[in-house]
Amino acid sequence: MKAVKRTSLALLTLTLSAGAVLAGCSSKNDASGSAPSSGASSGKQEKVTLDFWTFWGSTTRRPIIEKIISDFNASQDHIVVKHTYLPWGDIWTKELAQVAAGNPPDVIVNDISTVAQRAQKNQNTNLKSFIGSEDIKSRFFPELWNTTLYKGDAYALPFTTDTRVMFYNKALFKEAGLDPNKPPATWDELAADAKKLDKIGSDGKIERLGFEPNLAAGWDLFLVNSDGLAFVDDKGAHINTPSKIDALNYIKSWEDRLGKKNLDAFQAGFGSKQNDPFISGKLAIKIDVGTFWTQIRDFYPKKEDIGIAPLPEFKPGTGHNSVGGGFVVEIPKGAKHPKESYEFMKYLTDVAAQKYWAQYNFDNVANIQASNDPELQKDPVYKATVDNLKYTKVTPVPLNAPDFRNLLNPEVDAVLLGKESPKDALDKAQAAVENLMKQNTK
Amino acid sequence: MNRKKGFSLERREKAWGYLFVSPWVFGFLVFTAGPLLFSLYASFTNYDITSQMDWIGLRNFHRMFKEDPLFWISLKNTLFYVVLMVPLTTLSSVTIAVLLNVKIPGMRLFRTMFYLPSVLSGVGVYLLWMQILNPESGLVNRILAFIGIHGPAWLTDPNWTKPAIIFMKMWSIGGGMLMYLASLQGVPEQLYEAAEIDGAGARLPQIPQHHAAHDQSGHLFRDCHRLDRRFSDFPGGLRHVG
Repeated sequence: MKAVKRTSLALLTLTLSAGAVLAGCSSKNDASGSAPSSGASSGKQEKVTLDFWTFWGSTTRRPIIEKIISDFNASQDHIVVKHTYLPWGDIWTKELAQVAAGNPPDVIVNDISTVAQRAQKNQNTNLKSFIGSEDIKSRFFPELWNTTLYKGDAYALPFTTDTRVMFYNKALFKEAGLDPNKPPATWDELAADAKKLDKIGSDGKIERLGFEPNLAAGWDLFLVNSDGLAFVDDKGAHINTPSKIDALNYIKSWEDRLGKKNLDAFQAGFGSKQNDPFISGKLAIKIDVGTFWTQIRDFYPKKEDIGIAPLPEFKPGTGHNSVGGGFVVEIPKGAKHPKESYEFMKYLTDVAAQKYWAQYNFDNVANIQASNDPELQKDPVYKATVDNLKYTKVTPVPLNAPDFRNLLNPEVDAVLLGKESPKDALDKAQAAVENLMKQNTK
Repeated sequence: MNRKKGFSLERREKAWGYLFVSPWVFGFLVFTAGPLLFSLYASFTNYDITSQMDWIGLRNFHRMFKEDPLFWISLKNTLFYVVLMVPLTTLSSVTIAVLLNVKIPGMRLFRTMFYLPSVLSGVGVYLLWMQILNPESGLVNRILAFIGIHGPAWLTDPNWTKPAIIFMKMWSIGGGMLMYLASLQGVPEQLYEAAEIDGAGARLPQIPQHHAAHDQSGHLFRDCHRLDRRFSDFPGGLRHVG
């Protein structure tokens, strides 16, 4: 018995000490892992490896970002960037967990409208000391640069932006007796043109749809288009403005005319690419981001039939207001090599990389010089999306209303399901969001 | 001497016992109880993982119960789902298990066919269902049209999305069916013989009573398990309809 006990004690001790030794080893490895970085900054030619997280894993985007990364790696000899792809649904949740655990990636692509929120919550790195006296600001569109500021300091560099434009099918316009070079310029014209483009069976079944604001654009875009005011900005909530109530009534009137059942049935059969209703010729007008053109280019048989125009105005003179979003690159809080990370971010937002991204991805980029590149502007569609930026607002979500959408969306859903009037719903949402902002300001 | 003896036998055995359960106790404390208590505490604070954790009392609960426009709807939907789903799946998996317990040629093939949907999973199945439930060209509405019913837009009409989710889930009751089938197979042959001698009729109707007597504990476990799964099953449906 005693012998057994001794043996097992010995075993236990052995296991525990083995564990301790292993743990010791790994912490030693960590220490030697961080040593070269300090060596590199003092001039030794030891390479720093950066982990760069993106959600660009598609066959279109992955080769483009990886080419930019390999160009950067070849352009200098002390930093090696490694690309890590994470799916869209996981990337920021995973980053947050890694930041909390003190082991984040070195550079990450993140949402442009919430940079200040992350800065406030200690999730990204203040770039002030790395920027120094350099005038990096002037390379970006001012509106995009402003999204990166928290208490006057930049916490990210803008990478891309986007804008919503109107695509319309000129062949279908001709067929319906409309002028193919005169896209609708106001909401009234849009409604009149769409009626002529509709092909609807006697039982109400939609064979072809001219347009429908919620299905072919999105209600939120129409509401913001009406008065050019974001739902929430640093001045407050602008949800139940008279124009937005009118706009929601307008959207509802389309649904009432066409019939919710018929719209549901029409919509249920569609997806993306060849299955997109616009690309399969079942929808004549569609409002979407500029990059939707890549789907037209790749899947629509006669792309010269497709016209592109700014959004129609609510009423003459109210403006072709559009909304945009986009992405920034930033350094998560606690990253080990911020100086090298910043150097890579500068490369990503410089003319060469930005031009390459714009050219092959058809995206609006944040760098002004790249965006206005004459070679790129030769493409009329690309030019149209750049021109549309002057109508486009990029509004950061205010710090005191981080999740205001959760209060607004259900109210609008209730309107579209016919359970509430537009005015009541928007009044309620306005009050709820104001309450949220008040509580978060305390 | 006496003390030493007690120590070396009973106490030592106890100590070994504790040593053997210690990994589980450790895991429970660190990975289950710890996070559970932490979440409870965090629900009374404005915790955001990286920057703050100040006590704010019942503020979060007030927001959930009184201000969140979706909380009560979600709760109602979940209850609707559970109340319909648990009896329906239990009933149909028992029925199918009983049918599949009959000894006829080719039974293995039938068992495989009924079990197969539970093995298929994920986005592929949902895409398939989207086609089957398509209001215009889908299989379900086509068949309904033959008998003069104009089928609904299953996945977009708010009155029909919940039944559609239940409908889709019913397709993959094979897992439950298999468990019932296994316990049916465990019912000894003598019981059936005894039932026959007692003058019970055809074989199928006898089974539920005898089976129930034989295997109640198994039921209880499965039903609790299922209830728990139903409450937590919503993401699948949301992915589909969303």
